[in-house]
Amino acid sequence: MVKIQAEILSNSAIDYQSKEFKKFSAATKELFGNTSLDKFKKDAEDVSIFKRITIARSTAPEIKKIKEYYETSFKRYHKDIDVKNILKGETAVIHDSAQDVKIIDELITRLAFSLGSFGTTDLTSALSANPDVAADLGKILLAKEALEKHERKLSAILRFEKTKKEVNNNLADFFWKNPTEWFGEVMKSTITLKPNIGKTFGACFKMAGKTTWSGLKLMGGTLALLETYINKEINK
Amino acid sequence: MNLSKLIELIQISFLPDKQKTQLIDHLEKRGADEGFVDVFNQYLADALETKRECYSTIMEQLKHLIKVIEDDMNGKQKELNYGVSQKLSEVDVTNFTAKNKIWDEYYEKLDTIQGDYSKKLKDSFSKLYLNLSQSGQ
Repeated sequence: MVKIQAEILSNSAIDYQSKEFKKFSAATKELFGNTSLDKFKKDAEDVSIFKRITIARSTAPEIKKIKEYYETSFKRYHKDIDVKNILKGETAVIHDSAQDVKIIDELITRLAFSLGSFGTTDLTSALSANPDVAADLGKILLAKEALEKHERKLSAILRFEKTKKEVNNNLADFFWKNPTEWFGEVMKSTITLKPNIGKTFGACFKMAGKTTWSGLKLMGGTLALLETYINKEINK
Repeated sequence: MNLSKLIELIQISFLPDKQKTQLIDHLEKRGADEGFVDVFNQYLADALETKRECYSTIMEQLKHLIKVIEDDMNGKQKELNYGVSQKLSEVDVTNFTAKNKIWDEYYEKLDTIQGDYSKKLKDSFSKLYLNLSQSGQ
């Protein structure tokens, strides 16, 4: 637990893949089993069992740090989009994440103190006799689950933004690719039939820039292709 | 590549039907001679000129369309974000039952907004495609 707090102290965040939290989670599962952990989580939401704790609002530096954590974490997978700018629109998620980290930090301190005061190594019996302490453990797990959900959802938001950007960037391609190919085919076909003819068509090609070729789209199927693309990318 | 391939390409081209028939007739009767190339080249040049502005207009229309749809989505997302902050401020930060409910609703609404964006985009492109087909573009 001390190592989890060290991670929080250093990053103001808990990595989605945090090794320390994974160890903590595995140890609690091993020690208490899933049924007990589910009960701890249930008790954590019971105001008659969970001892009220006052959690201060996250400070601006704490919020900034978790935002930086998300930025660094997501930039690794989304190099081609402006992650920083997109996260600016997700203030509620970032504030709540900062708050969840704070809850974990505060409750680890309280839990460690409680466990230390029992003077026993038999944690199963100790927590059975002290459901309020077990509820602290349950609350820590709930807070981590909430954090993980935010991270997964933010990742989905970024994937959506990436698709939006791709649709915009590729729009022109959908409109000129086909006619360009068509002209290529005509050239090949005509040259095969009459080898010296390419020169004449060449003049036509020179006359028209890329934009003009785009005007030639207008062979069926282009927008259908675009729709297929959107269906595939946005709805996946 | 052969004559039938060239005929096929002319058939699927943007050229007016009358010109297509004329070119295909020429190919079938006389093959791809100099006369065919001259006429074909002239038809293409004319068509390029005619279509030049059409492309810009279509692209502008599309970009405008996407911007309108995106602006609408961004507005809704901003409103949603503000709404969730308000709701969260009214519950205890350690009450995960209440907070999870708020967040589940938030993410569900966000999915709906993104789904609407996708649907509007597809519908608009379909309409544009139909308009283009009907106008012979």
